[in-house]
Amino acid sequence: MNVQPPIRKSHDRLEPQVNSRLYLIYLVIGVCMLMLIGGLGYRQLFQREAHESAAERQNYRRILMPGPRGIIYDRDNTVLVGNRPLFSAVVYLNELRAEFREEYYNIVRQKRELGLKPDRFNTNITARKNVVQRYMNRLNQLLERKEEVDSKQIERHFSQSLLLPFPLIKDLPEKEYARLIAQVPLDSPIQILSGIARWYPFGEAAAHTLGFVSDSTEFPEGTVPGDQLLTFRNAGQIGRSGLEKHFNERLQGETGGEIWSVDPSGFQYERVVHETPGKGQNLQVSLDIDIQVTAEKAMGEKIGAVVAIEIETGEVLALVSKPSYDLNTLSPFISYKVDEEIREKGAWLNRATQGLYPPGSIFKLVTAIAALRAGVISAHTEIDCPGYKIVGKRAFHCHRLSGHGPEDLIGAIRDSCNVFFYTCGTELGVWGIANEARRFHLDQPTGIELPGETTRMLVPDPEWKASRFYGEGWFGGDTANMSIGQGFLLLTPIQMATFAASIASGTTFVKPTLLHDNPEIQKRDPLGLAPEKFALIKEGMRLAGERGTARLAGKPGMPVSGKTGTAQVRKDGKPTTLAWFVGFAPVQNPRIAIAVMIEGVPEQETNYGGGSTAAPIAKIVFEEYLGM
Amino acid sequence: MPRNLTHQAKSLLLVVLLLLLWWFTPSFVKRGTEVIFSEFQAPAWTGMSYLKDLRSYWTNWGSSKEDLISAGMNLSRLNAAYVVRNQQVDSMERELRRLEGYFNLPSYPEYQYEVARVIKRDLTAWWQVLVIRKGINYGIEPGQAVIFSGGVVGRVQSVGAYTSTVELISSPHFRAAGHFESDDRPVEFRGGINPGLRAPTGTVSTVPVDLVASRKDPVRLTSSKLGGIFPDGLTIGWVYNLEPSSDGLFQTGKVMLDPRLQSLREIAVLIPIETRGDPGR
Amino acid sequence: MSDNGRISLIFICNLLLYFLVGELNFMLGSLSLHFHADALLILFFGLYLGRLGGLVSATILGFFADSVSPVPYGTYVIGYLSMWLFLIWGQKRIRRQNHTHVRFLAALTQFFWMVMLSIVIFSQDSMNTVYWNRILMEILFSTVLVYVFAWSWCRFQKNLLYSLGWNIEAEMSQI
Repeated sequence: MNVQPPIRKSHDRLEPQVNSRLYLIYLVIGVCMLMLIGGLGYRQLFQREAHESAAERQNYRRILMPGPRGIIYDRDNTVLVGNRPLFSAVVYLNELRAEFREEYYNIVRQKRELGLKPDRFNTNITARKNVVQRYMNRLNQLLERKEEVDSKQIERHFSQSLLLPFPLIKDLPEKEYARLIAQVPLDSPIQILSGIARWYPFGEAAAHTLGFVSDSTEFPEGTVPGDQLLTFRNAGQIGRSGLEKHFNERLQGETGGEIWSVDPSGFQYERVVHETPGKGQNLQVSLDIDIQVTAEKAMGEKIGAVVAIEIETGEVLALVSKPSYDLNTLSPFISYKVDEEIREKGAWLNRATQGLYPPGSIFKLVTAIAALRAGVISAHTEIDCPGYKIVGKRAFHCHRLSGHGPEDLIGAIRDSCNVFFYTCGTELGVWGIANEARRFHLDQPTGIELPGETTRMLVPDPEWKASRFYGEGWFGGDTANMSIGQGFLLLTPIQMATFAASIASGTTFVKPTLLHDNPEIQKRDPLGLAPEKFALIKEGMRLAGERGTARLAGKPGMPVSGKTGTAQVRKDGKPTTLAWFVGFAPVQNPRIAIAVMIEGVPEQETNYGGGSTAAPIAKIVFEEYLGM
Repeated sequence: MPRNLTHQAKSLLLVVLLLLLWWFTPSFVKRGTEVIFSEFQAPAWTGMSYLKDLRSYWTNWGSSKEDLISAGMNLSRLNAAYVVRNQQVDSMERELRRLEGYFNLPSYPEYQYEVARVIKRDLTAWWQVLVIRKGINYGIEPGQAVIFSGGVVGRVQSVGAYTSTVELISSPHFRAAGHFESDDRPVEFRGGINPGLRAPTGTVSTVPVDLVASRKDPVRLTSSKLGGIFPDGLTIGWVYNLEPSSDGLFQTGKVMLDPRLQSLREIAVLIPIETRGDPGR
Repeated sequence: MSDNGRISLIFICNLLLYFLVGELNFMLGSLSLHFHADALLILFFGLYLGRLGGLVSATILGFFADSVSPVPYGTYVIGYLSMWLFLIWGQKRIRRQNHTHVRFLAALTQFFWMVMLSIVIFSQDSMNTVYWNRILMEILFSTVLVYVFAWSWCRFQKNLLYSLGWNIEAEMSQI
């Protein structure tokens, strides 16, 4: 059959002839479309939340910025630790993306021209380094420096903290800052950022007490939303020692931050959230910077510690540990060289709270109080000092080899007669002395608000000796030694200062504090000594300050009560003499208690001892505090 | 070109072609055209400036003899006063050198003043520039300081053969180091957005918190030699109010600039003496 | 004279306007004002002259403006070409003999161009009211001046050509 297809003309308006198989294709396409729409709908309706959060994680980055730390003031509102501006020149690596790419292609082209096959990974690293070094060279040229960028640092920053500024030069001096401000165009990728570094207006003063900070990303999250987002943290500061460490949470600022939307490769393009960081709380400490500086000057180059405490409140007015270091050299970071220097002179140790020393003759006060409380001695007890005392088979000498002759308690304290206290101690027994020392809290840390206060102070007794020396017994000689503060006894200068304060206030323990107007009420236990007996101790100390061993701590018109001590130890294998002074003033209604400890090698100074070396330092501090 | 396209479509096609051509033009060609067009129109601007000079010359020509005599007398008085001032400055400079030597202070570069006429002012919202009638022919280089009797004007932005463009301190892209009078700590000055019909302003930031400024007791912001561009102590502007910045470390404030900046006719470019080449004059 | 002759003449006129506006801005500077007259420079080429001449003139004028402005080089060239295109597009939608239509189109062109420029030069730092106050003021000022002068400027150019033997009005009525 010859069927002729109908002839169609362009102007014909006939319905098109559709092949039936086309309907099948339409059907398949239709079903596919339906499936697609259905799938899309399902994902939109049911899995929307999951997708949204996943997209959010991919599309947003959170940058946390710590707030500036609070200021530390002394009791008179003088700034002890402040913040200073820290200017740095930085580039944002994510803004250099185009330049990295261009440099990459340049390197590839050069290598190909040389017939080399470029390695993609290493070429990228080289490209990034070249670009950043180019900006560094611009700075070098402006500042006449010769800095090089570190490829490893760039790579670490690029992969881990792309949205944070990459520092080219940290801590620009004022002159360089001004030069860059004037000569780097505003639209340059090099930006000059202002940050914060700790600033210590008094340099070395109270270095161990104030402490230092170091860069850290350990700070609280704050109230910036989006904790599920990928977060970058700008470096903040964390207290590493002293008050900066102890009150770190209080001083630390409130964290602020930003959320940026980023493209799939992590490059930022729009800021969507911004929260300004807030400043940390200020801190007013009990230190009096005038007294502190005076005490440090009085110490000069000597090694040791001075602690001055306000008796009524227990507030520490000065806490000196020498040798010291300039805190400004530790900010914004501690260089290797500075660390070495401080280490070499042994200045990291806070001798006031971490240094352990035998207290020497100062401990005679504990022996005296114990003996009085136990009734071993009374106001009328007189002991003859021939210059030595035989305990067991050994002769224990007095510091005056010719002897003091008959001495009562007051005289013995005034003259610091060893024989008197050997006698008291051996009659009282070791437990009597040890328990008395413990009543004065001498076996435990004072609890001052400083990290690292040692807990290894030692008030020995037979049990301790047996455990320490494999069952070795306690001898009479040990008791004799302990009664004059020698032997195994180890205490810190701050303990001796609290001890002086507790005697001045007639209590067993004055808890020291570094906070001014500390609302925490102190409970103080009475000394437990009849007033007439306590008067003997005080009179002995007054006479020691007036014309006895501690006379150099006072002066006419400024009587002080005190007790000196001189102890021998071996430090680093060398014999070292410790010169001690503890005391308080004024004699009536005492307000300030002081402990001074100086480490020294006797050959270097004639007349080395508590009275001649430590007492004059205490005198200068008393003068400053009492305004005399 | 296809014949059946409309006039608009053909124009669009042409523009697209031109833009494509522009896109693929090497940058040195673009830079070349920039220089050519800039240098080409420079004589026109310069010529117009000379015309203005001529106009003011003829205006003066028409002044009465009495006016000219009194103006001449005023000028001679002013000159006499300046001669005395000059002597004082000389002796102070000697004293300064002596003290600098005594304290071993680094000496800062000295400048030669190149006075130039302003031939064009472009004070828009986005940029604030002046074109001056001296260029490479007078040893002017980009980055050099520009001043006037009231203080800092700005910085040379680009230099042509016979003209230079100066970016004013009121320009939003201008940044310089300054310091407050009687305080030598550097602060950052930036030009600002200048609302119309008002005196220009800028902003100052990184101001130490111990500095105080009030409407009653404004402080003068001056240029800082530390920046390496301007000599020390030239007035940038006055600050009437300082507010603490968000981090509490610094203060920021608005700087009121000299209103004369917008009507300058003559300025001086500071050319560091050691870098000055032979201008061939 | 050839067609090139009249294009050159109009180009010179507009170049003169370019310098005159520069002079005007020299004076307006003391009031912290600036008159952007870009639409006036392109107006006649877009509305009344041929394609190629207009294109070349707009490009050259763009180069003139670009070479003395601190914007990315080429901004003005692209801007002037866009304005020219916009005017070409507007040709068929307005009555070129009607002064209100011409003024309106010129002002609109100027307005769009300045908005575009604001966006090109926009930066993070510009996100404040002072910036937008100044921009709006400048846009308003320039647009109003363009509206006021557009017709006079076109008429002047037409009359100039007429006096030299080119009748633009007649050409327009033929199309």
